[in-house]
Amino acid sequence: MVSIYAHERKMLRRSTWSWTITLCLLAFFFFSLFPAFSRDSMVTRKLLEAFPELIRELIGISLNTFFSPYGFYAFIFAYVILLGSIQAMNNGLMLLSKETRDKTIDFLLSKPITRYQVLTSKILAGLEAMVVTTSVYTLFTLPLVQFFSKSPLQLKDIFSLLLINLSLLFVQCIFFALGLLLSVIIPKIKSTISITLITVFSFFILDMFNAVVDDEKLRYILPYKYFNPLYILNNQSYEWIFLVITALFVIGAVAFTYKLNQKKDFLV
Amino acid sequence: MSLFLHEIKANVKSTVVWGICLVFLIAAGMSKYAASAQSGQSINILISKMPRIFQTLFGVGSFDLSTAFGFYCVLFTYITMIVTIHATLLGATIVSKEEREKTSEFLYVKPITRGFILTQKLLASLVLMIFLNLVSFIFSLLFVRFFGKESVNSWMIQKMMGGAFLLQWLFFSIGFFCSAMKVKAKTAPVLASGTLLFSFMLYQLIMMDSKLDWMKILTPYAYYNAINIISPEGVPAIFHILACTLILVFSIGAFRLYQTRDISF
Repeated sequence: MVSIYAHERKMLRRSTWSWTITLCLLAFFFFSLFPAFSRDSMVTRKLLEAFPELIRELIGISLNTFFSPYGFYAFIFAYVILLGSIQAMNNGLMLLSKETRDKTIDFLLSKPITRYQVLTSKILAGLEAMVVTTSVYTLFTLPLVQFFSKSPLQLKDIFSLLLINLSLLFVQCIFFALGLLLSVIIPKIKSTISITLITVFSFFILDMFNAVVDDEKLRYILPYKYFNPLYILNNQSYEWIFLVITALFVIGAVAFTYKLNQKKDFLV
Repeated sequence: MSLFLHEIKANVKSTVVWGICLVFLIAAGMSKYAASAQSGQSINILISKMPRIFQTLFGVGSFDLSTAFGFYCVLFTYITMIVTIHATLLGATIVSKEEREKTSEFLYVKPITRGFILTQKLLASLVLMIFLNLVSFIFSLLFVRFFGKESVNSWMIQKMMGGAFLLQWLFFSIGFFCSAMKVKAKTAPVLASGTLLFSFMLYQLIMMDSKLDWMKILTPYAYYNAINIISPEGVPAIFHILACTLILVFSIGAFRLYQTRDISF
């Protein structure tokens, strides 16, 4: 069991570090637009101020957080989450299906270990990849945002930033679990990246499109809406209901994966 | 001919699924317009007055969101994204899948040249891409007409879809090129998707700040976006030239590299 875990870790190592570096670079390049953002923010602030407070609250904009570096970070975080979930879902889909594709499944299953053990070691390796990505990314972005923020260091903001970055891990878990589940449901996966891209981009597009006019009911099926960074900035906490939904979904999907994997007929 | 038909048959199912996704996206997007036309009017006008960076952050461009066509222009970005993802993956897998599924021995012992194989695969892919493009064109027209009250300029939508097709072809060529390169068959889709994601992220970045406009030549999404296509001047000639050159370079490159590619079994 330990050896499978070690093997999967090794297989994932390169991809994990490339993703981590990509995410950091992405945050860096988008964040380097902050000067342009604050330059233009005066016009926008005037526009928004002319609006009744009720409407502003409706679209979740509190003027002070919105125009701070942290507010800007909350916006660009959408792109980070997009890439992060591609990584997670692709890993989830690939971990099991690659054995079938590479015709190594008979080798693996003939070993004196149960399917539970195989799946557990694979899930642990995938989980580790996501934890590494989120932690390194967080270590990189904390000083980055602080560098652009001219106001003195506030514990409150740093705490919000940590919470926002931690939500990357949660969303990754959702997509990882979804990938795992799909990999045991779909009989033969030809290309994991195709399934990943179409799923993740569908959610992303729905999310971007929902941003203009908010639809409360739709929120429950859009993982990207579960952890609204602007809400986190204003309240220093998550919306608990969505944290519960995330946990339930992840536990449910993983449980189903175990159950289906136990009886899965592998096409060799 | 049989190879051509075989490729069509092998990919038609997934292409139809992409088509259904597209129809759903257009329907959902345009019905959103119908909903916002009643309530969210004021917010849309507000957004249209904002500086560019905020418009990009809110996921809308500098379009008139009070008309169905303006709303469609926002949607167009996402339509191009979907069709180009399809094209990239098609290009990256249609050649490399033979090695992956260990069917290359079977294919390459047939009395046909590699050039012939690639040509057939290219033609089959073009048909599939045109199919997807037509689906999005027909349903775009349908839903914009259905939800919009004012008359719709179908010539504009035609031009937009023409631009989308060139983007499809361009991204297909990139995928095609990746799978002909001397890398492992597994790596081709990863390389191609990486290029696609890079172009998309760069496009989003450029759209935020006018100082970055010079970088537009680096990302195909900036060549044929709705802003360029609906502007009175049309798409700048340089972008047409660039797109066609890139398609040619990548396609010819794919054919040349593939001649000497070492097929692993």
